[in-house]
Amino acid sequence: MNAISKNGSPSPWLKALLSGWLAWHLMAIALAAIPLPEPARARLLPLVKPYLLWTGCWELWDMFAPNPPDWNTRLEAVVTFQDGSQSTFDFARPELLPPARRFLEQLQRQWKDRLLRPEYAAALPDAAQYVARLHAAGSRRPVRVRLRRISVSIPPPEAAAVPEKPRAEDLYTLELPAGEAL
Amino acid sequence: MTSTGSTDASGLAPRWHARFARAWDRFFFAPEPPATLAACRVLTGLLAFAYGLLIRPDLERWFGARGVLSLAVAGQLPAAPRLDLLALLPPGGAWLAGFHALFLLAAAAMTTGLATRLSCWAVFLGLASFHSRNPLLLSRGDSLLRMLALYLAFSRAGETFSLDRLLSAQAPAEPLVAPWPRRLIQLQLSLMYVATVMWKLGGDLWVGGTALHYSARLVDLQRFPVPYLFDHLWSVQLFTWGTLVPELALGVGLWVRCLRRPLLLAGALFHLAIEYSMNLFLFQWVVLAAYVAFLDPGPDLPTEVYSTGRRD
Repeated sequence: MNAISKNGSPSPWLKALLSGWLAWHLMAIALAAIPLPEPARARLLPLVKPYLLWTGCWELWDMFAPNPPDWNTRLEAVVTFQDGSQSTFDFARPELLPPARRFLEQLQRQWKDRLLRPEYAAALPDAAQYVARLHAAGSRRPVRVRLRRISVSIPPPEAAAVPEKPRAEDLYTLELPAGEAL
Repeated sequence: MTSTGSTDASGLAPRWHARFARAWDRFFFAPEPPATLAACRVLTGLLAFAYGLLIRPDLERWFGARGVLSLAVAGQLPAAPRLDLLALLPPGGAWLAGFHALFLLAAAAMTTGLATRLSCWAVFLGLASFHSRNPLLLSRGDSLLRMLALYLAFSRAGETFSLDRLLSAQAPAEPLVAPWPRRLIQLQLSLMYVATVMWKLGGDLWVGGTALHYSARLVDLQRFPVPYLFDHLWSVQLFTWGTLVPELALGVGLWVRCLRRPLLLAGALFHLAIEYSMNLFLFQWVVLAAYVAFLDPGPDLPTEVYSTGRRD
């Protein structure tokens, strides 16, 4: 039996199958995207999340929501070497680049943004390890990598624009014993 | 009133069901020329190709075994797609480079419409794999691009504007296709706008009208300067609330035929203005590619580009 008729319309049995899937799929993407009140959201989301993750259709669409960040944040790594010297690595500073080159820095910026979010904290050790590998050259070997968040709050509108002192906060420290492979 | 069934004394229920079934059938399955789906395919293929080029310089760093994220940790991170063909490859940069080269080939084939169904699936699986291997790089534009590729993979988007069509020696006149993959793209886009407005209405900065004051001052998102507009409370409030209005209008109004063209134009200007002022990777361009799903074949898009004078 041909599933598609000559005029491009699916056969009745295929239509029924497709209709069932379309209804389920539309309900699933809507349930994930729409901010339902709790506890309904917490109860319903587990029903659709595995399906959406496996089909690549999981997304919340909460851009700059519920509020955009009211601070500027950067992430830096302070690398300490065996001889006691230190070097600082910035994860992303697109604002220091000319506008045309900022576009190419976006993956770096996205990486930094995600690392700063608590739900991605499991990725911090890998990031520190990567920075350690970047800084290992010849006999100069890192022994510690400290990841720090530097934040400056954005003053509210029409407030006096007094430059605020940046706040630094340690997020993760990787110790690298001598002899351990990087 | 004449009853058309026996399940309801008034006859309203069966009528309602029948009307809904007919509307559903017409909306998702009434055959149409394939021009809209084909145009979506061309733009989605181009964007997938651009994505491939943008990740190329740092392939090892972002996705390699000695890159920024190990495979084991990537699997623990939230909201990552689960389809990861990269995880099945043996370790080694050559395999990764080969996978990436195949992805670029698939994106080029999708754009030109060569082995269209296969290339659309390959692009979807490639995108899902890169996104799954390193979810730290994921943005909303990546998610939308992946979904467009999935919906197009189910479609007959290679029936026109394609090498498949050109190379087909015995091609009859342009066939009609079922529009349900196009409807999925349209509904996905509408849902995106409506959902983002709903999330934003839960935030006091959006309701208070100062959200754009903050988002315009996120230094690592800034691209070209926007003088004056975000320096005064009145203009910040105007543009903050003015962001919610077009987003909601696009989410709902695109379904109203007489509003569609002006809204698509307004939406395009809205997204190009964001693209000018902010760096949000490919997001604005992916949304514009999805807009094409709202163009009707015939009035908005040409059909029968390879007309042979024969139509079944």
